[in-house]
Amino acid sequence: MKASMRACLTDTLGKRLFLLLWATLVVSHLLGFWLVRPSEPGPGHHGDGRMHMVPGWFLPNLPPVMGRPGGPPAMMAPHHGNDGFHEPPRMWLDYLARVLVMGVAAWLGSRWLTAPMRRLGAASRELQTALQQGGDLPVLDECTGPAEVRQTARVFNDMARGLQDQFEQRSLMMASVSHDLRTPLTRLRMRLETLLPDPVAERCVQDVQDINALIGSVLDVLNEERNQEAFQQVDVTAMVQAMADDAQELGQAVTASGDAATVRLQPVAFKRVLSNLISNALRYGRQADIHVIRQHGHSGKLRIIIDDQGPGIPADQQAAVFKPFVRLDTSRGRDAGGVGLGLYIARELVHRQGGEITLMNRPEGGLRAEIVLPLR
Amino acid sequence: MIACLLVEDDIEIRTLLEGYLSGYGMTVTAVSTAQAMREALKAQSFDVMLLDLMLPDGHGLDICRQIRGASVMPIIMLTAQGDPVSRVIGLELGADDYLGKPFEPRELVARIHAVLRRARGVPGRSDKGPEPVAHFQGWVFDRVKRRLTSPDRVMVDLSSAEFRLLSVLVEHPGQVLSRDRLVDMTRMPGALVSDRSVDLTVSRLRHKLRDAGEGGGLIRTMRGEGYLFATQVQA
Repeated sequence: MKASMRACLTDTLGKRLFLLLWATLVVSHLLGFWLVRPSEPGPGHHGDGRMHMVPGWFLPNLPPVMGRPGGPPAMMAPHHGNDGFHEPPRMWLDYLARVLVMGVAAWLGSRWLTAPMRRLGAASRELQTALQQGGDLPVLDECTGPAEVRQTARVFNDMARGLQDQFEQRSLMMASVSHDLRTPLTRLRMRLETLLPDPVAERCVQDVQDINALIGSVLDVLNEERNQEAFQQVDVTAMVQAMADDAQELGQAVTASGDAATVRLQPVAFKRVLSNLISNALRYGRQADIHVIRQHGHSGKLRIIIDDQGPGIPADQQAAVFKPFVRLDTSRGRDAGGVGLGLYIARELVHRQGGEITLMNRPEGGLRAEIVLPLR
Repeated sequence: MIACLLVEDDIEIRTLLEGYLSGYGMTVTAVSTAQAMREALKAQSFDVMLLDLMLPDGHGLDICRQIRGASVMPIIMLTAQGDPVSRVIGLELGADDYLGKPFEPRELVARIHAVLRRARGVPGRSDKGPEPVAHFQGWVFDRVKRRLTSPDRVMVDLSSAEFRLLSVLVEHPGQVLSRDRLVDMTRMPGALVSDRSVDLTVSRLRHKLRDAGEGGGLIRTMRGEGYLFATQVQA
């Protein structure tokens, strides 16, 4: 008995909707009647036996079975024969009042009933950020509100916790994979050192380095998703210059030039981008020339261009190369190098800085990679 | 002979490294736990320590911090993790260098030598080692993060050569440093450092520091003698 009574008293959307409709009906009847009432000859004088609103004792809890609920008492209009001339305005007034009340109720009601949906939307947006940056999970209230909303809140909270567990497990897995693969690789590398110089051993060393690079690349991709690096004002030209100088010190053909510019970005992430593009340029084009160009105007942009002397990329593949593990040289041979994640990572990171990256073939030959960043 | 303490929990890597390094004039004492490391440090002094981050009875980063509190012995971290965060933390906690596994064995040898040279070649080095962050005239030079920040809070990147040169200048404010000495102190395996390259690096540094240079300014040319870092440096 008690359980079913409690069930009757639970807050559900259906009950809220009923309550809303009922309240609308009552208020619209009241208002309509109040507006029309003064011109009525008196209570209960419509002796036609039809159901109508009686002012003295109210029966608002019974929806009127005759006619339209809350509709105008059009039934009564023809009753006042010679007064028919005056009825239409009053009838329309009544109608207008009811329409107004219903309109207001509908607007308020929709805000009231959809509030949980808005909260769900906001929580979902926050969830993405929380998972990526390791912050606190958004929690929806499971104890207040109608039954359906509480149910949804429970489902959402469980899902959020489940996702967070997954993310954390993935981090732990990454750390252990790194360690567990790299330890035997270290042993291999050290043992190979005792066999050098030997052409077979040298090729084995190269393989060890390739495997290590692959592990590094995959971990990098997984790491980027948890990128929590702070944004800072960075002298982009100095960054580009420093990278070019370091490359030259290692005997690589990298040059840099351009305008001075400061941009707000994540320094380590952006350096990754430049490093990926430069190493691509060197691998496929033997040299990399970097230019930093400041575009003036009130919505100023900074263009960073990296040109190489390689064969370029066929136009129909320029979009595809940004996908993970896509490489033009499908043989994955050692000479081609890399595993196909450089451009994918580069684009993710450029987007995070609020910029765009495109590839194009230069008319004079070679590929141009262009990064455009907003100057704030 | 260089006395080297190797702290590494994988037995095969220990054996292989012991064998390899002894071919380069090093006597290697190899231990597998933090406890054994402490006992070894009590028993004798070492020229350099190679420290693995993942040990069964302690994390390399904590160990590094403890050791650094008590000695200036150079520490090179070895790790299979390889993520940039651990690297920076390790350097902040006092490690002198960081090598990811698998490493090129020759590179390990080169870095051991470089770290020993740095430890020896800097006279007047305090017991705690050079401060990780130096301030001069509104500039902030973070040695660990290899980052220079301008007075108006803009991050200015330094190339490897510029970093090495600025490190030396910041450690010897007010002293005249000859070109030869600068060449010697900024030498690095794999890089060609000469008088001319030192001049070029000085000019680049001046540009980045927005320094007038020459007679006045931060990095002064002392005709016939060398360069002088003309400013006070605070930690």
